[in-house]
Amino acid sequence: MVSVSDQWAQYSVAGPQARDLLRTVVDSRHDISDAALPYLGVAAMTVCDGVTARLFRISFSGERAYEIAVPARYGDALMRRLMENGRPFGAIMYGTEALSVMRIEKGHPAGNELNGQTTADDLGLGRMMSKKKDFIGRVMAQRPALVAADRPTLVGFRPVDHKQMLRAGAHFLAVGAKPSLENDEGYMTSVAYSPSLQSAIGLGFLKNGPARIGQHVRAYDPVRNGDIEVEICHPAFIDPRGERLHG
Amino acid sequence: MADLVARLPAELTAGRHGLTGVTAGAGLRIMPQRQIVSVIARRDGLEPLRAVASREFNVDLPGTPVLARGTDVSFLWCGHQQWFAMADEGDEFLAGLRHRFGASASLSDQSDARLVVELSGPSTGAILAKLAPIDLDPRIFAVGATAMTLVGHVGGQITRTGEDAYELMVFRSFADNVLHGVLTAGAEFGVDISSTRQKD
Repeated sequence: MVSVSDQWAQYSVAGPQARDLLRTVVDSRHDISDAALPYLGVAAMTVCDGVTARLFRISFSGERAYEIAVPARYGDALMRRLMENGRPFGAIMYGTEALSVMRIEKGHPAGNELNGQTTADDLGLGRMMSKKKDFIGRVMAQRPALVAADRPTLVGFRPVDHKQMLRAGAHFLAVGAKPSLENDEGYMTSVAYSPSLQSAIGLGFLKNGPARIGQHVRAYDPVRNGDIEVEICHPAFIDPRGERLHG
Repeated sequence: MADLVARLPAELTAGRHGLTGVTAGAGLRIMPQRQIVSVIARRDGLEPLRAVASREFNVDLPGTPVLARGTDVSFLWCGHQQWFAMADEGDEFLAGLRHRFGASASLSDQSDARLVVELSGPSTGAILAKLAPIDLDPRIFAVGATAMTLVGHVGGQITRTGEDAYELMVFRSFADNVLHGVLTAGAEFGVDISSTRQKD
């Protein structure tokens, strides 16, 4: 095994006009239409007159998005070129904070959810585990506690009073229930202010969560004096059908 | 031809670093970009690989940690049945190796993944002694010897290219950190930095 992490400089190009911007650097003989490079497609090609490149149709933001890689020596120049060519498109740099807000809006699990205590099923990704074939981890994933019907499962949350903030780490209790370990129904993992929805939104794990969408629970955080009522939502707050993603 | 400008992993301003008024204890040079391809023998591939290397590049693939120089291509040991094939810049190096070695080896382009620095001069051993936990005594680490070790706190490979000359190879993204470490270790001896601007 050889790491190629340092061999390539790789950038995310995300947004509704991402393909149009990439068209300005990808050499013209390469087809990057949606037919040639659909969501999750990947292709080897050249950019800027013959520079070796790899183009990935991958999205963490939930937008139409790509990642483009060139040998590291050309990384600096490619980034400058993308920013220059992106001016007519209104391209701007974005950082991990913005990405983190967008992935919560989109309901994409990340580090806070992939925390070593959650299963694919908990994350709503159970379909990725084969029912027919063997795979690494299959036996251990069948332990009773990991397949219990009421395991806390990924859902979204929004404060009932949209002016209130959410707190990651808060635990969920049925409305009116006394705070106790027995009454604990799960916990909030990620929160952000969503500029699109103009309220705080959060992701977390709640017992029977997907079956309770639309209901209310308490988000209880005694350490920081937090005790508010939240609505249980579908985890994909924005574009749940992936129309933006697929363009 | 490519209309993007290539950049070396790091650039340093030429001149003296550290102690002045004396002959420099060491010279430091960021080596021009070279072609580096990782070559790993596949199952049952070792003998065919050795035969091709011998025939095509006039080199015995080393089974111990040394640098073997062949015709136009050098092979730097970097693990069990693994080497870095290195050559000056040119076209189609990877494709050429792939053509020659066929199914006997797995190849991966690492040209952009490494910073290569040459450190030479009378104080080089003393500088490296501060950075690498290996025995640099020439009886142990002779000219041509290589070691996968630490450079500062960063994993890297050190190769002795002369009595008082070494090449340090580290991942590109550690370039600034490693150069800072080398210059700091060398400051008490004075280090002369050669110009390293990439030719376009």
